[in-house]
Amino acid sequence: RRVHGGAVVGVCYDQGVLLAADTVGSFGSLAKLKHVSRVHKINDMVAVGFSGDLADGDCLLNELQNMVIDDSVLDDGTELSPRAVFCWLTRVLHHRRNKLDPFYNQFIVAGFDKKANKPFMGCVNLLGYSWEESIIATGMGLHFALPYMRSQQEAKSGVPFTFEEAQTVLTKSMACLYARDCRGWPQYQVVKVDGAGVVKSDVQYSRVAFKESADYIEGRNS
Amino acid sequence: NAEYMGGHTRLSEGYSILSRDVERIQSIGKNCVIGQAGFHGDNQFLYKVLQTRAKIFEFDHGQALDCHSTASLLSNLLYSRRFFPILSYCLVAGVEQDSQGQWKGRVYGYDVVGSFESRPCEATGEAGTLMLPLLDNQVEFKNLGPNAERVPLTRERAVGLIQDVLQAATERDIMTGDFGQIVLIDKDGVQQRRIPLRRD
Repeated sequence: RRVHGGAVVGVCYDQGVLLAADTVGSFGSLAKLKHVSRVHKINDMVAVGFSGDLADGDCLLNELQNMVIDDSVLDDGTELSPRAVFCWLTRVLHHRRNKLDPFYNQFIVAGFDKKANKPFMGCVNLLGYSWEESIIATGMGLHFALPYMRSQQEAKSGVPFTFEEAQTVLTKSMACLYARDCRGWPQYQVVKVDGAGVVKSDVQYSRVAFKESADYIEGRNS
Repeated sequence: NAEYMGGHTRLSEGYSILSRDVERIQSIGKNCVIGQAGFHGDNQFLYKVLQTRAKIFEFDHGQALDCHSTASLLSNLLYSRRFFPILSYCLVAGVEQDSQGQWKGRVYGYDVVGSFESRPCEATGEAGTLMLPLLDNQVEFKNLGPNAERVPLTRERAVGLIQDVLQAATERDIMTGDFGQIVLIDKDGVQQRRIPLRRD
């Protein structure tokens, strides 16, 4: 048993990407750490969120942050692009999988590709495979959030979400995860990545109306 | 004088769909494509290595890798990991000029450790066993009765056949679906098209 984080949910919209993750570090079924930050800004173009083992995730995050420091020390005007971070993470995770000693995480890399002027989002998992998509959810989010996000996306018939729509989708996904995932948590953080840069929000709260539930469900008020 | 390769674009993990839009057929050089089934992580890794080796070859020799050389290279790459295999079921397809200067299409099928063979048609992956009998029957005219019509394979018929075969696989295999990626390779290069497949 190790401390691990739950789902990370990411939604691309026309101008950027939103990533959200709750702030609990679970130790099995114990909510051990309540203010864990699992979504992080890397540089002005890239943010990452991770689920799974918090120690492994922090280790890789530290490496990424060191790479950003190296970039700023070199001071040559180039930064790590979203794809570069994505590729690096894939290679590292795949390499460790080949050594049969994985980093036990699923990472979502969210960025705004300034050259292509398009948002970018990709997911890498502990087995070392990666995929790019405009809606991604890791962990329990795959079962709870992703179907909802897909139905919203398909209702738009190929048109990307607007920022407000993406926010709604994300908020509802996080609320669903809190309501349905045993290891869920009502507090979460959102990172917004767009052409202007990366903005991390304060802790937000899922508003779930349990009053509408059956009489015999009791204990949680929000 | 042309080759067609078809693949699907669904990435699944167990019973979940991770992505509906993952392209499995990618090009190496001008007249050659590689389609990969199996473990997606190893597929990506193998493609990167293969692409890098192809670039190095171009820089060293001043010409692009042709189809049989790519096939041979891939075989060696796969065998180099004989005792920790790259779980990638590859197909290499392309056109190359023979000694008379005629362009001929070729398909090479592989196993995970690199044994390969050039065949008139090949199918690989989870649904490969579903598609291969149909291809044997329509491309190589195997298992046809003496009076059955043997329709020669033109380009249009080949595209139709690949579409039918992908649809058939989608109907029966849970991991296949979403979009079919159909790639035509001829002496002028590679063209791609997509067809919708069942999304269930």
